[in-house]
Amino acid sequence: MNKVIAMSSLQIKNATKAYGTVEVLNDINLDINSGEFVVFVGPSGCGKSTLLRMISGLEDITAGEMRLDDRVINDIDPAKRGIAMVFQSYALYPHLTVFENMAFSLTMARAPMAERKQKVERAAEILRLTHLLDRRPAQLSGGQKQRVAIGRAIVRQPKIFLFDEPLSNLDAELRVQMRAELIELHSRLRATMIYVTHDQVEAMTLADKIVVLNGGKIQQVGRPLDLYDDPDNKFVAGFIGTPTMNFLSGQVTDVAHDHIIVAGLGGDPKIPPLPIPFTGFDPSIRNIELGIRPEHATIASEPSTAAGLPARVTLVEELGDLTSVHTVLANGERLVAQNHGRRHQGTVETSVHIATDKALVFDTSGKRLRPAST
Amino acid sequence: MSSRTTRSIAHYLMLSPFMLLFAVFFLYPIASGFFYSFFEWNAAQSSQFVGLANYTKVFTSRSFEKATWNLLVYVAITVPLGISVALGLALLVDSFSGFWAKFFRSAFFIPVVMPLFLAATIWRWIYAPNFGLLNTVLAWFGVPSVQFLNDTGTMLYAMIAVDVWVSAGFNMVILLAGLKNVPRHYYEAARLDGASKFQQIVHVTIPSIRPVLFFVITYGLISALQVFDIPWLLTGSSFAEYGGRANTLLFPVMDMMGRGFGSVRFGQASAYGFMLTILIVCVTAVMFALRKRFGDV
Repeated sequence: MNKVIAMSSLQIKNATKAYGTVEVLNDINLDINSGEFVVFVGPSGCGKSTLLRMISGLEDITAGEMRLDDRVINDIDPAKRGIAMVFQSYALYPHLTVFENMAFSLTMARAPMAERKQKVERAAEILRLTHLLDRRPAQLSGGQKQRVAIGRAIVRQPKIFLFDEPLSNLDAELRVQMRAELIELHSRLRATMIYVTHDQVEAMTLADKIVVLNGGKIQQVGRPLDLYDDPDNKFVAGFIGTPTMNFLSGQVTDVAHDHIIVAGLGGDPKIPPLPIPFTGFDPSIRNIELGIRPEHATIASEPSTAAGLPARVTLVEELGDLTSVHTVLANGERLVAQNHGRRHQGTVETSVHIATDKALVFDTSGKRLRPAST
Repeated sequence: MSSRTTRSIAHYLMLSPFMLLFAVFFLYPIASGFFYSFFEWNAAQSSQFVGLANYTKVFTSRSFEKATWNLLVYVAITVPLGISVALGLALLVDSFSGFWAKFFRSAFFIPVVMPLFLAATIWRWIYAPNFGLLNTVLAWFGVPSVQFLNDTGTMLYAMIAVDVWVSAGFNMVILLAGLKNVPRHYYEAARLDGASKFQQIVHVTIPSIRPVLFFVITYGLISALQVFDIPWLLTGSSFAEYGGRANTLLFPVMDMMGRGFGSVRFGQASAYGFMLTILIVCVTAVMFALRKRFGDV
């Protein structure tokens, strides 16, 4: 296949976006390399779509700089940036056929019909849309509409593809299918793609690099598993991963060279303090929160064993190979344990064992405390 | 009696007041108009059956020919011009938000709520030969006084301008509602695809509001075919004198009213009205057929 897409890199330096006195994005710094699939993820209102629209040119940049292939694009018209965008609601024109929708940019540029035909047919071939070119959007399924929207972007031969929550209007099954198609498309085109979603599963499965945003700020940038295993703060730790990470508050009662002793977990005074592996802990810190992934917590086979945290089961989610047991501890903190291949026995009063070597430590402001050796 | 029949009777009973009023004030006048179109009747003497003579007399009269020609020219100019102006105003209002959007929407709607006689009075003054506003402005540029409402070369166009001014606000509000329903991301996608403002209007806006445009065109055509009040108020405004100089502003409804209440030939007026009704029904049917073919997006 001939090369249809150029590859480009994007640098964002100290970018800020404000509407009047309300600042929605603050001091954004980000490098996106050529050919990368970058996913902006975060809760609603975190500014991820605004950042995408700033890259597209549909929103102005209040302060800072945006460079595409070393050219400052802050004031360049959206059409001249060489960026194509796929919208959440596809933005397909209902009065035009699939061919006309895909050729829209070329029609606006008054490109010759032969060129329109050639480019649209090539994009349609990539996306397996050739047999649908004469149809109108109303005659297409959700997945087909999504492919047409992507096709319209491909026809423009953009430097960067932007996707604004493109799968959120699809049902769960189709979303999984389209996700796989997007991964395949990216590997075929090797184009730079920026994708916005609030769904961390989408982010984990699609991204080469994830940018986690919250409150208008970048919380962390990294490879999906790096964010999962080594989050910078409590927000990233809690946002990445399903079910979400458990957080248990405790007090550091003793600091040794390679571990700390944490007491008060679960709020039950009868629970003996737990040693948590940690090298180089700052002894001035007393109150901490332990982050424990659900797969690192296990429901004891015998109720209320001395070594575990006493807990009351509130909900059991049986997913076949996987069982999520939701519990509440003596101090009211919630803890979810996930068991592979084991069914819950139905006991209400139980105890939970945590894998202390997997526990992450956060201070009370939510900042991750990393051992000296890592 | 089955419960279904009892229910049906109850439904018909509830509908009957409306049906009765509809029959008395709507169906009966249509039927009696059609009936009287075959009679010669002047309200003073008893009516006399004349067959299709009334239709023949109307159809072959010079005033009918003149009124029909005037109507054709008027419709051909007023409907596209009026809708273009209304669309332009709607696009203008749509481009504003907050106070200015409300201000322009209200300002452009004022002619719609203004009593027509007042609008006609204002325009008579604007068009007045010596001290009228338009002639005063033209005089600044050295243009000699124009008799807008008395010169057969300008009368029709002067009246069309008034009509467009009066109706633009109403059409603007309807088109504006259509514009508000066009998803914003259509424009954003078009902008990213390099469409200019004009291309966005041609390729995105107009196709997206096609159903609303069809309604406005159909309503505009029906209204235009029945044009009466504005030319009536701009000319003699009486059954003794109407249609303006050389019948330049004579239109079918005016001609029909003149035959009925001016010349007391109610049979001919009924035949005229019936022909006009058939014409309007046909035009409306064509518009609905066109909408079915092209209007649904």
